[in-house]
Amino acid sequence: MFQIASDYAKNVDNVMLYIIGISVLLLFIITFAMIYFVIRYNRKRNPVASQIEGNKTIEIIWIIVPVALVLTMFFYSYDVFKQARAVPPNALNINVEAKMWAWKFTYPNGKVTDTLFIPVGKPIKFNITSVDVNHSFYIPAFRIKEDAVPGRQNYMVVEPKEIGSFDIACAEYCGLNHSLMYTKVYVVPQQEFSQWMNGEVDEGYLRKYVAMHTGGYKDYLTGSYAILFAKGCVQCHSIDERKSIGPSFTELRKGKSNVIVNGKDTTITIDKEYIRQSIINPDLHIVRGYEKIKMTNPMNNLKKEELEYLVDLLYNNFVKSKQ
Amino acid sequence: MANGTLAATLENYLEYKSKKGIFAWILSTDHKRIGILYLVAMVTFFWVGVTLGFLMKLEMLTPGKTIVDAQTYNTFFTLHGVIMIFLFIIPGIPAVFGNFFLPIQIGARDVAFPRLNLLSWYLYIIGGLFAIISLFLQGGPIDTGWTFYVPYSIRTTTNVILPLLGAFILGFSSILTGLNFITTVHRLRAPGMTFFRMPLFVWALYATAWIQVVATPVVGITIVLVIIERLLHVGIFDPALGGDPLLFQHLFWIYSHPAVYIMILPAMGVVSEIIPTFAKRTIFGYKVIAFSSLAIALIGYFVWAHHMFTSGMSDTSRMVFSLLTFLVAVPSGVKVFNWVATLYKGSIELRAPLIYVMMFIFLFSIGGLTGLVLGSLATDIHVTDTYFVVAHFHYVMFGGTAVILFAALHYWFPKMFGKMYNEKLAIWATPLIFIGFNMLYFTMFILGYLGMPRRYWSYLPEYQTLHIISTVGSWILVAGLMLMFGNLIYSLFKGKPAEANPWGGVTLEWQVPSPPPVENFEEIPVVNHGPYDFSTINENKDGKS
Repeated sequence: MFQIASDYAKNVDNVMLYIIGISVLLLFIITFAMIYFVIRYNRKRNPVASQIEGNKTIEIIWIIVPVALVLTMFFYSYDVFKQARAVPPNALNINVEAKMWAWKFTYPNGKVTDTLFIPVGKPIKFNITSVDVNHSFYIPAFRIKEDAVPGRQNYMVVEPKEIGSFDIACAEYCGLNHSLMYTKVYVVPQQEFSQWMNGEVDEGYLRKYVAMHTGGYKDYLTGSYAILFAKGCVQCHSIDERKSIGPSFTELRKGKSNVIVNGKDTTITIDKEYIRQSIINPDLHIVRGYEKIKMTNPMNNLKKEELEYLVDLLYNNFVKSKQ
Repeated sequence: MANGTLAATLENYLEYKSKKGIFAWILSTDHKRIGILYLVAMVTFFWVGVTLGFLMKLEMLTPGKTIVDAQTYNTFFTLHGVIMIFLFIIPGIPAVFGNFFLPIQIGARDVAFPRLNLLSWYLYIIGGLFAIISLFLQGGPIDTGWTFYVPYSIRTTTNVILPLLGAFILGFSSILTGLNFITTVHRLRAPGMTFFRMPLFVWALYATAWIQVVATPVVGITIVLVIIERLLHVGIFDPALGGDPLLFQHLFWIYSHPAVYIMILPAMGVVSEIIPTFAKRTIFGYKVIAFSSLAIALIGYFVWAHHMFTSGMSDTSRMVFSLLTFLVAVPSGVKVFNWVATLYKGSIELRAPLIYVMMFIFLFSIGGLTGLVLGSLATDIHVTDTYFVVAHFHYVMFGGTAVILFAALHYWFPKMFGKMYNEKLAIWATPLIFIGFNMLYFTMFILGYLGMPRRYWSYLPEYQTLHIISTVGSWILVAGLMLMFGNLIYSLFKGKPAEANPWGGVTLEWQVPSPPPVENFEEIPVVNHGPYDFSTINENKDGKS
C-alpha cells in the first residue's frame, strides 16, 4: 500500500517513524497519567485534595526535554529534506508545466509528453511552473511535492530507484477538475529511456516494458489498466460493475449496447470501431440510462498511438474475454 | 449605583425587560445577553457547517459521483471552511463565553464598551449575511476553498467578492471584540483582582484579544487587495497582471496562522477553569500556563510560512519557519502536562464537563503531535495538501476547540440559563462523539500518508475502504452531536432549576446566582486570593463568602 520508489522516500518514512514513535510514546504517557489520576484520586478514594501549586524542577524538565526532542526532529528532518533540494551536476532536467487540468512534460531534447517517463538511478531535476492558476506537482511514491505557480519556476529533485509506474496528482486546489488531474510516471532503465529519447521506440514500448517488469506481459494485455487511470477514464467509467457518471467498462462485455443516436433508440454491436468512436466522439452514442455529459477533453489527452492501445486494451479485456 | 435602580438590576438577566419582545435582546447591551445572541447564531452556523461536512463525506463514499457533481462539491468544502472558520471557530468561545464570563470573572458589571459590544454582534451577523446572500446570486456560490488562493480567486466566475466582503466585516467584529476585552481586563478588574489573581480563562482571552487586534487588519487589507484586483485588474497577486501569487499567501497566513491561536487559546483557558473545579485543587503551575498563553500568542506570529513549505519559498525561509514551528509546539505541550498534573492528588469528581475535557486532552494531543509531522520539512512536503492535513486540523480545531466549546456549554449551562441538563445523556453522547470522531478523522491520517490529496471530488479506487470507514464515522459523530445538543435544548425548557454553584467552583461566576442578575454583582467583590484557592473556600463552606 505504501509505495516507496526512491531512497529519499525511505528516508522520509524514517523521519516519519521517528516523529510518530516519540509522539505515540508521549500520547501514551499523557493518556495513561490522565486516566490513572482520575481513578486513583477519585473523590471516594481521596476526599481531600492536596493544594500543589507547582514544582519548579518538574516544570523545567518538561520544558527542556520537549525542546530537546523537537530540536532533534527538526535537524533530522531538515537533513533529509536537503536531499530533495540538492541538484547534482549530472541531473536530468525535465520541465513540468501544469494547466487546468493536465500536465505537460518537456525533456532536454524538446520531446513533449503528458505522461512522465524517467530513467531509473539518475537524479532528475523537475523545473515546475504553471500557465494559469496554482497547482502542485505531487508524486506520493517519491514523497515529493512542489507547487506549480504561474510566473515562477520551482524545483524538486528525485532519484528513482525502482522500475515501475506511479501516480502523479495535483495537490493544490485548481478548480472544477482538480481531482481528475492525475497522470502517471513510468520509471524505465537508462537504456530504454535513451532509446525512447532518440526516437527508436515509442511510449507504448516503455509502458509495455514497465508492465512486464512489474506485473508480466499477460497482465499488460489483460489486467493492467494503468492507462485508464493515467488518462482519468476511471474517474467516470469503473472497471468493476459499479455505476458511475458514465457506464462501467464491464458493460462492454454484453457485446451489444442499447444507445441513443440523434435522439433515437438503437442497438449496436460492440466492436473496435464502436469503442474508438465512443472515445473520439463521445456524444455520438449515448448509452441508455446515462446522461449526456461533456467528457473531459477526450482527444487532447490521447495521442493516436495511445488511442489505438486503449481500443485494443478495452476490446481484449472486456469484449473478447466476456465471461 | 443609585439605590432606586438596585432592585431592577438585581433581577435575573433573562427575565429583566428593558424593551419589548425581541428588542429586549437585539438592542440589549448586557454582555450576557450579547453572549447568548452569539451562541444562538453560532450554533445555527455550526449546524449548517456540520450538514455540509456530512454531505461531503457522503460524496466521498464512492470514487466519482455519489450524490453531487464536482462543482457542487467544490462549493461545499469552500462553504464548510468559510462557515466553520469565520462564523463558528474564530468568534466561538470568546464571543459566547468570553462575553458572558469575562466581566463576571474579574468582578465587573459589564465589558468596557457595551454598545461597541453590541455593534460587534451586528457586524458578525452582517458579515454572515453577506456570505449567505452570495449563495443565491448569479455566478453561484464561491468555489475557491476558504483560503481564497490567487490566481484562482481572481479568475473564477463564482461570487467571490461578497463572501470576501463578509470576511472583511467579520474581521472588524473580531477586532472590536478584542479591543473591548483588552480594555475591560485593564480597566474593570475588581479591587484586589491583580493580574495574577485572574482566572486563566481571562488570561487566555487577554492573549487572544491581542492577536485579534494586531493580526486581523492584515487579512482585512489582503481581502481589499483581492477585491481591487478582481474589479479593477490592478496587478497585485495575479502574475498575468504582473502580480505575485506568493505575496497573497504570505499576507493571508500572516493573519490566518495567528488566527489558529485565536481559535485554540480560549479553549485552553476553558480547560484551565474546568480541571481545578472538578479536581478541587489549585491549578498546577498557574504562572507557566498564563505566560505560555502569551508565548503562544507571540511566537504564533512568526510561524505563518509553515503553510507554504511547498510554495517555492527559499530554502532558508523553509528552514527558519520549520524551526520556529517546532518551538511553538512546546508551550502547548507544557499546558497539557500542567493540566494532567492538576489531576494529581486532586479529589476528582468525574462529571460531564470533565469527561469532555478528558476527550479534548486525548484528541488535542493527537492533533498537536501530528503537527510535528507537518512542522518537519521532509514529512510536510509529502503530506501537505493531503488528507493528513485535513485530519490534523480537525483534531486540533474540532477535537480541540469545538469539543471544549461543548465542555464549556456543559460547564456553564446551569449558570447561563439557571437550568440543569440531564447529565447522564450528556455523558452518553461522549462515546458516540469520540468513536465517530476517530473513525471519521483518524482514517484521514492514513489516507493522507498514502497520498490522497485534499479537496478532491473524486479519488482512486484503492482509497475507497478507508473512505467508507470515515463516512460511517461521520454518521456516528452526527448522532452523538444531535444527542448532545438535543439534551441541552430540551433542558433549556424542561430542565430542573440549577443551583448557584452546582460544581463547587471558586471563581467569581460561581458566587453570583444562576442565572446572574443584570449587573452581575449586588456589590463589587473584593478579591484577596488566587482564582483557584480551594483552601479558603473550604473553610468558609457553610457561610456565605
